[in-house]
Amino acid sequence: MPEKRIGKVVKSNNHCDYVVELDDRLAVKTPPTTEDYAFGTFVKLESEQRHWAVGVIYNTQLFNPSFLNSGPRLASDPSPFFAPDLQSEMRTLLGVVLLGSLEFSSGQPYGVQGIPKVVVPIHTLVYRMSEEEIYQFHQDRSARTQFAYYGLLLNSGGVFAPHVLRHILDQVSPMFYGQQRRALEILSRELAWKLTLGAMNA
Amino acid sequence: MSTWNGRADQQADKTLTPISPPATIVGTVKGPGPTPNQYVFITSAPDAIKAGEFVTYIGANQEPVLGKIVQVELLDHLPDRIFADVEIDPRAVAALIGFSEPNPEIFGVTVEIVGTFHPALGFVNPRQAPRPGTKVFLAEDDLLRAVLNRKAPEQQGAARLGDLLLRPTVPVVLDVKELVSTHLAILAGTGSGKSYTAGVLIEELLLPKNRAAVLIFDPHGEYGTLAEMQGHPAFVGEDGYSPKVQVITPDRIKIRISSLNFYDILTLLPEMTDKQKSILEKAFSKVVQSHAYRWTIQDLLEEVNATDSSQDGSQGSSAMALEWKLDQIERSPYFSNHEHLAPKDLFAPGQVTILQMNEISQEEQQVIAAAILRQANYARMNTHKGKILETEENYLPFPVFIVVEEAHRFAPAHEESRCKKVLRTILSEGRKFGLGVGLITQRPGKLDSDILSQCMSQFLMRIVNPVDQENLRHSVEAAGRDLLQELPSLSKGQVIVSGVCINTPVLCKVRSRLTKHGGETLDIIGIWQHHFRPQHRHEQRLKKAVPVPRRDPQIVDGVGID
Repeated sequence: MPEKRIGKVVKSNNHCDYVVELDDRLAVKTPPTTEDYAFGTFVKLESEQRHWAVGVIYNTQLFNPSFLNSGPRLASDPSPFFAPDLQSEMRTLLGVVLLGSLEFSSGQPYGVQGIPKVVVPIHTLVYRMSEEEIYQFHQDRSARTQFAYYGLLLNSGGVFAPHVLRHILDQVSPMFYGQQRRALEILSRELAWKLTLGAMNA
Repeated sequence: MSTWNGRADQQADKTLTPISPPATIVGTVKGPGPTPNQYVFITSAPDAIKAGEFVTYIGANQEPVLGKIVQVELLDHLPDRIFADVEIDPRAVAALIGFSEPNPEIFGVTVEIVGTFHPALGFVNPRQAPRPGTKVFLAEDDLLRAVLNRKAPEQQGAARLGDLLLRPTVPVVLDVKELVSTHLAILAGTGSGKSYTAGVLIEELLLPKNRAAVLIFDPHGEYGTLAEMQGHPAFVGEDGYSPKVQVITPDRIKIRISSLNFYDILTLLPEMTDKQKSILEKAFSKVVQSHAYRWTIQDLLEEVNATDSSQDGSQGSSAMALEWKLDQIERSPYFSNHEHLAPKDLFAPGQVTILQMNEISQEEQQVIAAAILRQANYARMNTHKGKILETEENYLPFPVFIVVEEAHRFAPAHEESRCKKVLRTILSEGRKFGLGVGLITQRPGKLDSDILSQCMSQFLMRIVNPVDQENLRHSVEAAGRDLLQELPSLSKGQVIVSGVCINTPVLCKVRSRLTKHGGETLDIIGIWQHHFRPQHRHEQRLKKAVPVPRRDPQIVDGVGID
């Protein structure tokens, strides 16, 4: 799956929790499909000048100003000036938690996981990452598998954090082999237990 | 032997104080522990942490405070599920999620404070937990050598039992004076090496530095191998001393009848009616009164006949029955009218006498032991007080030490026995005039608890029986609850030493015996296998073979050849 633009940063809740407004057909020629911004999708935040950060979609929200606004109108023909186009005011907002960044400085790109130091500016474009980039993000400088954002995501990923993690693990595990893959599967099993039988015991 | 009564060795003790600063840091104090006498320290390197290991910290007076590790608890650890996959190292998973420290686990170690060492007072408890953040060190070998033992290994009055279990370089040296004067008990399950340990102690007592006078009641004939001490180079002193080992086999055991008391005789006789008992008691008191020195069974019989005779002078029925029963004692090979094992024959400094009683019935063993113990007690007490002349057989001018194997038979917990009373007397009073007892048993639960509590040094070895363990918890408090918990997990030859012979209870590995051990289990499989060896089978066939019949006489030329 190649990289694809899906929206731009419009707000942040804290240093690593950003709100991304999804591109619609009025903003771009080919708006992203629903699969492009699915729950647990890896995204990168980049402007023309630089790469800012890597994050993951941990939440989505539909924004509709006309919700509960469908009562009878006084005028039969609403004025276009006072009643803007309802269709263009509907928005899909994506919650993105930042997990680190990609480092391109030497040879093969690799991932630097953890909270990024920089603040991502408003209107920074957000792209869905390719599989190649996701693989690179999960490798450290010495090409060893890393999953160091595990704790960060669990704490910052909202109520669905364990589910996002499990989704990510299912997505990432097949990219690796041998011991590395086995270790990721152990983490996946631990989460599966917490989400299913662990929830029963709690 | 002069150390027995005097306090001369206290001066030697004062040399045991130098303490070098400890070196290896094993952790940092977290704070006070579960009890006022404990503290907890934190470590992430568990390799040096062993239950029973000695550690120190520098106390308020800049002196090392010794403590013993009693419990190790895992405080922070990796999630259990990470351990469920046997193929992958849990640390690899931890590293994957960003934790790459070499020691992820944190341990909380509880330490029982032993105290700071004072040469005169022993260990003094600081009664204060160390401050949080204080460094905890592994106690150095030199420090342990200086403070655990009261004596240096080669010093006079020292017995080197073995080495610390966790520090093979630190010898465990016992104070012989305390050991033999305040009595000791070796309590151990079958096959855990109790007679081996007793053998080591006796070897130490007989070394040129100690030269004790020892008697062993040996109901199983296990101690005969101690005879190897005679002529053994390790036992030869600079002045030519060499220990003497006297093995008294059952056929040489002779107890003079007049040294028995009424109840001894009652024990030896079969069941009797009340009338017979009454007649015997009367006759016994008369014969003791009329024969100030010695009397024989015949004298007793005469008194019995005199007591129970009808007016015409004929023998009463009870006297007839008693005569038959008393004849049994006279026929016994172990009781005699004249021959006797006097204290003079049994005891001498630098000599161990082994009284083998393996073929003697239990009742007779009881009476023999009671008679010998009573006489030794009498001899020591009166010689000490100066009431016995040098020429008398009861003259015993030196302290003695008596080892009683299978002590639960001689002093059982809930029943009367001939020995129990005399053992009680010796254990409570023997210390004053140098008569020490060492009790060895495999059933501490069956041993009389009053007697056990009088043994001030204890040697505890592997005991699995829960009743015995429970009994020990109540009667041997000195060892400490933490060490008593170790009892079922000890291996052969590992012993918990506690009591007055050592400064603090320790876990010790008993040293190898210089002489051969005599109490080993039979090589049962070897003997069974031997039965089927070819040459052995041939011998068996020869033994079973029917003799070849004698040939019939032949006749040659009409003449018979026989």
